[in-house]
Amino acid sequence: MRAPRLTLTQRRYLEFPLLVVLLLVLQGMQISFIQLPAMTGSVPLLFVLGVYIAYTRSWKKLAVLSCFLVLFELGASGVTSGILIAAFLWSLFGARAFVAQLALEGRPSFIVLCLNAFLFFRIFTWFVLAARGHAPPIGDAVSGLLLMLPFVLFLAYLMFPLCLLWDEIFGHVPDDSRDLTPGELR
Amino acid sequence: MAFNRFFLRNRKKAFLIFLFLAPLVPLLLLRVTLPKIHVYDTLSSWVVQPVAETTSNLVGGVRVVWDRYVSVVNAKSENERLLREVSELKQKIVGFEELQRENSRLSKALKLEPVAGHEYVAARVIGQDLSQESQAFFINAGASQGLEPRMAVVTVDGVVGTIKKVFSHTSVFVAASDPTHDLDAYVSRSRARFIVEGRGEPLVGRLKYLDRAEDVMVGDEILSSGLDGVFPKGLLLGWVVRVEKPKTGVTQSAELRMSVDLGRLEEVMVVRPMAAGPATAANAAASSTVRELPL
Repeated sequence: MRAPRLTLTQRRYLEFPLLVVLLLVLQGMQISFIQLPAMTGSVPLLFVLGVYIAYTRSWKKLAVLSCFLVLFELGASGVTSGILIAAFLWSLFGARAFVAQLALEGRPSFIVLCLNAFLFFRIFTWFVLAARGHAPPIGDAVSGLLLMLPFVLFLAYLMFPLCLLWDEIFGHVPDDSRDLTPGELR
Repeated sequence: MAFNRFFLRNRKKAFLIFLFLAPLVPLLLLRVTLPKIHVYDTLSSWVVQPVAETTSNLVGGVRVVWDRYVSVVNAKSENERLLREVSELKQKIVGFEELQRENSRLSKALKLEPVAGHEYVAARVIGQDLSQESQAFFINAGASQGLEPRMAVVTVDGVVGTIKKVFSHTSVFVAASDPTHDLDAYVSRSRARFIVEGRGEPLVGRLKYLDRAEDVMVGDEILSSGLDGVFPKGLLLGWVVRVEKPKTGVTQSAELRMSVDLGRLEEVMVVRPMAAGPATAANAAASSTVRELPL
């Protein structure tokens, strides 16, 4: 698929509003009908997007964008805000740390990274809720997690080229994840 | 000066340490009530709620029509012209049947016993939250309909949950089966009192702080006590399905099956205190009013 050509002005002023509208519309669809069976929740669109940002952006951009994404997640989830923020951010930062250390590239690595980050996210959330006495039974949590993993895999597979297309349309070049200059803050 | 040099040499490490420690802050502030951020509230009421409601209605209609289409397609042996005619008539009947079912549900809802000083705000369930750990639902009524957090959500079948978050035109309520939901209840037969806590499983709740000496049996009806200040007294929660009395200890444990099936929830009523004012005939007549469903 060839990316449409946009002018610099269009790229600068169109991207953020378009992203916000797209995220809100997707969230509206997520809470209404993109629900998995047996009340196991919805497909984690925003989370996979966050892992893509961790995969292709620098630490500074990840810090800003992940806070932006977690705001959307807070409005559509019933989990206590503090727990959700901590779990979401730590999952993404951990993913970024892996990317930096292992110099990952390509769709297969991205899919594996998504799965691992998602596992951490759900396990951490469950343990913190359990510490407060508010976790669902572990059997339900494990079965829900196993049910969710194929959807995360499929979502990562599907979203990777779409995100690359978005980057191409808006002229983003993925930041090099390798630590070429030790100590340099990117 | 030396500190500046040290910081410049190690600014990446400092930044990464700060980044990884920053998510600790919301965890440590779990028990603190933070100021509400209104940005998502506004965006949500403009975009998320209409989209959720539209797609919810659309998907429901498509699902019903598809079921009818499949049943018609399976009867392929019949004449094609008659099949098309039957299909058109069935689609019309489907629409009328759905209206009839909705009328029946709403009629039942109107027969809810009035609660002194309270009125019911009808709302439609338009979505469900994204996480597995929480059993929360979105409804199409919010601050503009006078809803506030900690208001009771009920149906004619019984207790549903409690309002957790309120936006301009939508709200999120947490179901009674959610692990974070507690309410004060009692057994209608023996008047034993306890707390009902959700277990995170649909239709299942746990009876907490149930005295060992209390008389609780399988099949007992559990009602809300009204003492928690949220739910009116006498609303049905469910029935006891399991009782475990250990040989030692001061408490016994029991489980209940909730009376409301969350999977089939379409309309709910929010119990809202009436606006304070002098007692008048108009107020007395309006003591059991039901507001229209927001469109």
